[in-house]
Amino acid sequence: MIRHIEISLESQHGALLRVLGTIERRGWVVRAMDMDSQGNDAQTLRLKIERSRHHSGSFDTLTRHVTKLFCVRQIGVSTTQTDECAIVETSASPHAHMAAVATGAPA
Amino acid sequence: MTKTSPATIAKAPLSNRFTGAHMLISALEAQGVEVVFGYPGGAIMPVYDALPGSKLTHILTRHEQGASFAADAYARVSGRPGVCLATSGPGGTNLVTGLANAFMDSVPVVAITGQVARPLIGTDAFQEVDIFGITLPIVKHSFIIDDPDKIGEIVAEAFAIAQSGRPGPVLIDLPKDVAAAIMTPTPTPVAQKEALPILIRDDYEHAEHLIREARRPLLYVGGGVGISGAVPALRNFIARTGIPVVATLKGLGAVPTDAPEFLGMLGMHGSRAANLAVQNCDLLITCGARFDDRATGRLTGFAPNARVLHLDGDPAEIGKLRAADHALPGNLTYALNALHPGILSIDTWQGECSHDRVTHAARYDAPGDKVFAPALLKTLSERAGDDLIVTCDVGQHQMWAAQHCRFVRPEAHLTSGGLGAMGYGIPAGIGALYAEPDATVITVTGDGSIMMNIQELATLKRYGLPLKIVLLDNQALGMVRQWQELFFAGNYSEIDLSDNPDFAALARVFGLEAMTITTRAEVPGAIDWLLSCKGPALMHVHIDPAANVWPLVPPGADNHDMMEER
Repeated sequence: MIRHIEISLESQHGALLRVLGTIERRGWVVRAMDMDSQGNDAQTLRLKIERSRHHSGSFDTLTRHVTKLFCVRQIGVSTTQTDECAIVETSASPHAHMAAVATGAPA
Repeated sequence: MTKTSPATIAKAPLSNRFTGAHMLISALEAQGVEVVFGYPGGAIMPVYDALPGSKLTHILTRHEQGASFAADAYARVSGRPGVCLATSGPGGTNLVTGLANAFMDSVPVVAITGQVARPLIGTDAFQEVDIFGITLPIVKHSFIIDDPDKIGEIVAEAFAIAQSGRPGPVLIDLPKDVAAAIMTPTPTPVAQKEALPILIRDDYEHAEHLIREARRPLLYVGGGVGISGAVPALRNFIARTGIPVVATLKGLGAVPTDAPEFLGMLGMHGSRAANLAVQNCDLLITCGARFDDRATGRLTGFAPNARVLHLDGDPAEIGKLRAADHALPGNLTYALNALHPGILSIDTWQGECSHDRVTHAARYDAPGDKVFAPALLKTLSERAGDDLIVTCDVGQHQMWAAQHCRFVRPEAHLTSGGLGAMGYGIPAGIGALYAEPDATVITVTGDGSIMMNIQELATLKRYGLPLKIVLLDNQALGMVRQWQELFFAGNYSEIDLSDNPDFAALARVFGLEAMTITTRAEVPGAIDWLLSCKGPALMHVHIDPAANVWPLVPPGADNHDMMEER
């Protein structure tokens, strides 16, 4: 099963490794990727991934694990299982307020 | 307990100038940190130079793994992040098992590692390893501090992340030149925990409908209940509904083990009553649990007739291994308090569960005069009282402790549940004693596990920590031996430990009190002795080398296919 996923990442040390590692450890294989910058503090990562044949974890579970990462701002997923890249569903990371916490602003 | 303050064992700092290391210490103080567990070395030396005179009590363990396990246990008991310190290279790599342990069991730990100076990173410098990269899969998040001005902000963020949502370990890697940089003190923000979402009323009404419809509902309680502070809410929910309860290894204590609704631990070494209830229930109310393979046995055969109502603080656990018919992701306390399903028609089911609990209760009348470990642990935990904290190593003794000890709160049972790390017990006892100095802390260990971190006996002596160690010695790696006996045709391979040292003598060399027993008749006196010891003590107990842990669900089997003692 091929799926497409688009991830908005904080530009911070290890962010790319953290996302790719999570995807692979959760039983998916990266088939293609590209990344570009959204200015100095963010990057957009587009991935074409396929579930490992030895793994049965759902795509929904994978996206929830990726969304949990603190370097992830937003994630978009395709709703189809085809090669067409149609990113239509997005969700914001629940951690968007963390910078405010760190600077002492109200959460 | 004697606390040796760093000021009494170290000279004054070499420099009075304010450095990045001072900023780090100040930031830790701002987060309310009182105790840190660690081990110094080259790259972390600026931090150790800044420690004397601070408000932090530093506990010098004899191995960084001990520091990481102690920080883990401190966090589990205190509910506040545990902090460990290590230098670069081997210091950091020695923390790895402890970080993995905290990650698997969702424990808030902040680990701070020294790193070589920024210009040396990537040059294969002395004691340089990429600890950031090594630990990526086993931390909730991690930082490399590349600017002294970011120290306070990053420390605050690390504490916020470690505690928020599903807790976990956070690593801060601090290059030596950043720690040594002269800087101006700045105020440090205080970390705030991220609040978990609270659902709308409609979500609860559907959950209540499922509970009302059920005739055989069962609560399946995991470590998430204790982690999230939802124990009172859970107990109130049980009081309102009378629904029977089973617990995972990490869920033990959320409901007192002697409560009438409690059927025992489920899973591979669970009680028969608990496993039968799971297999026969028609609604499994999963509360802060994650369908771990040790709990479920063959997943497709687990609770085969049940709908699943899943309550969890971590949305990623919903549907990960077992689809939920309805889920309440978010704040567990709020969810449990919000559920009011009304009068339930479950009298028959409650009767069945109670009957199974009595009929299949553990027996303590094993024949012979050798020490029967389950009976010893049961009696010891009952004698120790409600302030008992048991820290376990991993193996047969760990399962006996889980099955037979009396626990009245989740903090009473510290065990390496997800990772299964031998060597956890003694350093965890150290951490527990700093979190709750008045508790009766008992480490239950085996002759294999104790050797994994035996150097921490020196830490017990150094700080006068009154840890009570029960060493169950079967002269073998008992759990491996049991599996080789049952599933590998008795082909015993590399499990013999019959050349063990004299553990009581060894403990005395470290400065502990110690005694050895070999027969059942000696048990009452030994328990009296252990509970009366004022300082660190070790009770070395010879048990039957052939003793096994029962019941046992064989790998790949359904939970009702339990093997019993032959």
